[in-house]
Amino acid sequence: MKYLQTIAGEISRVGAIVGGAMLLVASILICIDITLRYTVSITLGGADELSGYALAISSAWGFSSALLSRSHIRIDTVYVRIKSIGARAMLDLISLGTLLGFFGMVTWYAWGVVWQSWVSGSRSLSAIEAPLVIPQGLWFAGLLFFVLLSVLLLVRGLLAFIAGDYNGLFALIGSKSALAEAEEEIAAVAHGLEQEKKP
Amino acid sequence: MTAGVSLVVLLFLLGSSIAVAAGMGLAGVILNQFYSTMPMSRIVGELTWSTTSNFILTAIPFYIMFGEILLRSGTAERMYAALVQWLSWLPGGLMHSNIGSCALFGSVSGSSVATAATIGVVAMGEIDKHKYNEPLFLGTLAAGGTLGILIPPSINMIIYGVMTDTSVPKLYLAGFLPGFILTVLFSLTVLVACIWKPQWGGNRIETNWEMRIKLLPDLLPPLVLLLIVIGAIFFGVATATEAAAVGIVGALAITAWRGRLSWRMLRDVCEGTVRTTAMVVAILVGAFFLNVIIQTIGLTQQLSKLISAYQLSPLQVLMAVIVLYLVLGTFMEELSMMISTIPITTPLMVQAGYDPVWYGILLVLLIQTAMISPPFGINLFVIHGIRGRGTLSDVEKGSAPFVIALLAMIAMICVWPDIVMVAVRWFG
Amino acid sequence: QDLPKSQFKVIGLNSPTPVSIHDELPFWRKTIPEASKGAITADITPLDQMSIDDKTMLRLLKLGVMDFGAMDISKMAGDDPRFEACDLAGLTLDPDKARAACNAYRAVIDRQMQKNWNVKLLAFGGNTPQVFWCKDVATGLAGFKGKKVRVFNNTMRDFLAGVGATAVSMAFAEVVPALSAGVVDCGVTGSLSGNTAGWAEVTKSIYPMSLGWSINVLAVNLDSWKRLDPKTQAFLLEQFKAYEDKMWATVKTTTSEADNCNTGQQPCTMGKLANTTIVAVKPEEMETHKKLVEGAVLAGWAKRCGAECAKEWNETVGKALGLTAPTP
Ligand code: NA
Ligand code: NA
Repeated sequence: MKYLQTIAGEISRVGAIVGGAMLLVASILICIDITLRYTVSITLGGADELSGYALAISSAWGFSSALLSRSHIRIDTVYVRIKSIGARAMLDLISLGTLLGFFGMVTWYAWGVVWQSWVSGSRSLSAIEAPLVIPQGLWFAGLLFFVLLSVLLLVRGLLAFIAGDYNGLFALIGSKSALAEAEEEIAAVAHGLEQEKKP
Repeated sequence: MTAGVSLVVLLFLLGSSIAVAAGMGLAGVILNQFYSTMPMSRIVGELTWSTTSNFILTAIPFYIMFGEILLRSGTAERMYAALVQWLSWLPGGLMHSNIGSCALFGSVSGSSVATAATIGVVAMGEIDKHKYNEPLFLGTLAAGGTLGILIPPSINMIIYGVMTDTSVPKLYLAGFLPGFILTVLFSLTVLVACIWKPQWGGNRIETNWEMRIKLLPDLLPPLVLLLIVIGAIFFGVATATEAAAVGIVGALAITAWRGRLSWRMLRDVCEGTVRTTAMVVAILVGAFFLNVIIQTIGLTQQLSKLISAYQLSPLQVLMAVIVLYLVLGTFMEELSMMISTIPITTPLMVQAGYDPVWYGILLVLLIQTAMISPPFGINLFVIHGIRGRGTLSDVEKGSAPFVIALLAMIAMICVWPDIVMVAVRWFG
Repeated sequence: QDLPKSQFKVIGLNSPTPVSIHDELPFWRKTIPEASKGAITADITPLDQMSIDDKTMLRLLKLGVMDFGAMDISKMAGDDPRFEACDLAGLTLDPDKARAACNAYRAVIDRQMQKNWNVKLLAFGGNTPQVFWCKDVATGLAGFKGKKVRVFNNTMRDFLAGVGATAVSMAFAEVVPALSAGVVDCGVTGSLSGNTAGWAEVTKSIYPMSLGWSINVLAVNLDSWKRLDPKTQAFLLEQFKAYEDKMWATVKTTTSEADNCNTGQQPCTMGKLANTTIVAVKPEEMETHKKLVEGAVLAGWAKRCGAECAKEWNETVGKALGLTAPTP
């Protein structure tokens, strides 16, 4: 199972990098488009639409990456005041369970969206007339992967809970306090500064 | 009745420390189950696709990516060193450079957290070197960081604009003057504190005209980016959303010019951007779903009815809204607070006769206040984390005077709405 | 006659449109309950008050979210090109012709909706014409050459390609600032909806050659429909006929009122008084217009819809209007 999670971690990392690359390419396309439009009144057409798809797809794939790095925002005002470790672990499991519940529902109906577009051969209303099953299919795949990953983490969390391995559970699905989040932001900046100081 | 139940459901779900996205989504499912005659849960697939593939929302990942690139390009550090030469002769020394740097960085970045984190890291080493009053110094960074969303560009203004059909360029125009005044107010706060207690101001820093001139070019990159991003909108080259993409290419160009562009750097930027974006979008998915349910069950209309039943005057409505946000702002995460309340408060305010652009700026100021008011304020956490010692209450103490400055700013735009509206009238 | 009791859930058109205000809301809230002596009641919410994307309305109707739904069908043309077939850019220049075109095509749309969407077509309606709003004074069709024009569907893109203009796409909310800053030179939207959205404040002129009528349909989920008593069905079909007539009468009155508002004349109750110039379409431009429709517009659409589909169009809409689409 640990092996499964390592694979899932790799997939979600690649998913995030590819998703980010899509956004980067989309932003470059937009710049080309507005330059052409401003200078010679030509438009590529569809740069805006492609960035929309990039956002939908990259965020669907990014949900997993955010889950693994425990970045989904939780309001832990109450949580941090709870002394009992067992109760905290329980809240972590409930939190993941509800996340799975809601996004399970989203994913279920998302399948209906893709299926309908496939059946009616839907295309976008833009100049590029993109067949919608392609972006929607990639988007749905990201959601599905997120749901599967949540199931995996929930099972591992439950097993850890039963075994009484609370530290293991926190490392998997514990609430990351806002402080830890700030530390990461800082590490990123510090990394940038280090690079700066290199000759 | 519905309103009360909704609020209880939502607060319970969020208070139980489940993910904000799931909490809002489930609140939607529960409310739909009890109060709606339509099976609205079925729309969640179409709704998620149509909102997350909406071009206007791409401004969110674009500004996040823009910040990620600037974070890794060293632009901020050089800018800070230059501003030290120009601003630190004032009583309060470097604390004015902190505020000035935040304002300048905020004028290219759309996010408050990125602004506070970047300038915070650059400035933090100076506390001990020059013996500043530590809490106040930290306060300038936490509060200065919030300028990132008042001075355009601003992710929060884009989200407000999208959710309420308000023109984003108008909001941007409206943000400049309050942003400038608030920067001055923050500086005045430091000035007053350091005239009252001169020992807080730290040692005088060596500055001279030679250095001032020599470091002047380091102010150029942010100014150039500012001109590109904002100029593109107002000179008819790009829309507000497209301008965010322009910012990315500009920031990449500067990074390349500095010789810091590499595959590794790009990979880190991509991964970081998607992770943060996903976190925001997850909340948006829950919030948009809850929003549809709230509208379907007529909660907004009920609230407006309630208010008209009490026959609140426009001023009382305004006061109620301000108090609501000051209360929510202490314990709620700022973005989710904004998304979950805009559909309710905006119609109320517009009905009471307030201009949606003006209200947008008021809302941004209230969110800024929330960001530095304890116990939950994201900028407090960021600055405390950067400092890496002492207690969080130091940062809270140091931010308190700036909360007062923000409240004064809010009072000012209520008394003189023209501070917000004058630019819109002249150029809008 | 006494009808059995029914209660319907309806999602309606955008609330600021005249059809919603004058026809749709009164129809469901007053006409139907009164005519059925209280047997039939409906709970209608305009779609903008639910923050729903109008492109998804047909999908939601299929999912059974509501019983009846009204929608701008050209927004669904991505799901089936037939949905824009009687509202192609520039196809008809007055509302009577537009109605005749859609009438001729009624059976085709109903068939497609029943087959792919489990939805039944009940009535067609229209809106004020889609016209050009320009930052400077428009000089006619030829003057659009090289101009940047904001449009929102492919048939308008075909039309603009025909006149040599650049089609730009952007969100409705971004058009006013874009016109004001000069990101685009012109934009296309309804003569009244542009007025109420403040387009008149950033433009000098309107070129009134219609690029469409944002044809809307009222439709019902087939499962909901089949559950109804035959008497109720007959009663409703009767009512929808009268409702359709009323909608088309509204199109005419609001179109002339929109012109009043846009040129600063009374009566103007539905919009804001503005000071734009309506640049009359010159008679000699009609020749160019005909060429554009028969060339770029019909050819572009036929390519999206296919040969069979174009053939069927020629036998229906084409026959009613005296036009022929190429069969690729
Ligand atoms: Na900013
Ligand atoms: Na707070």
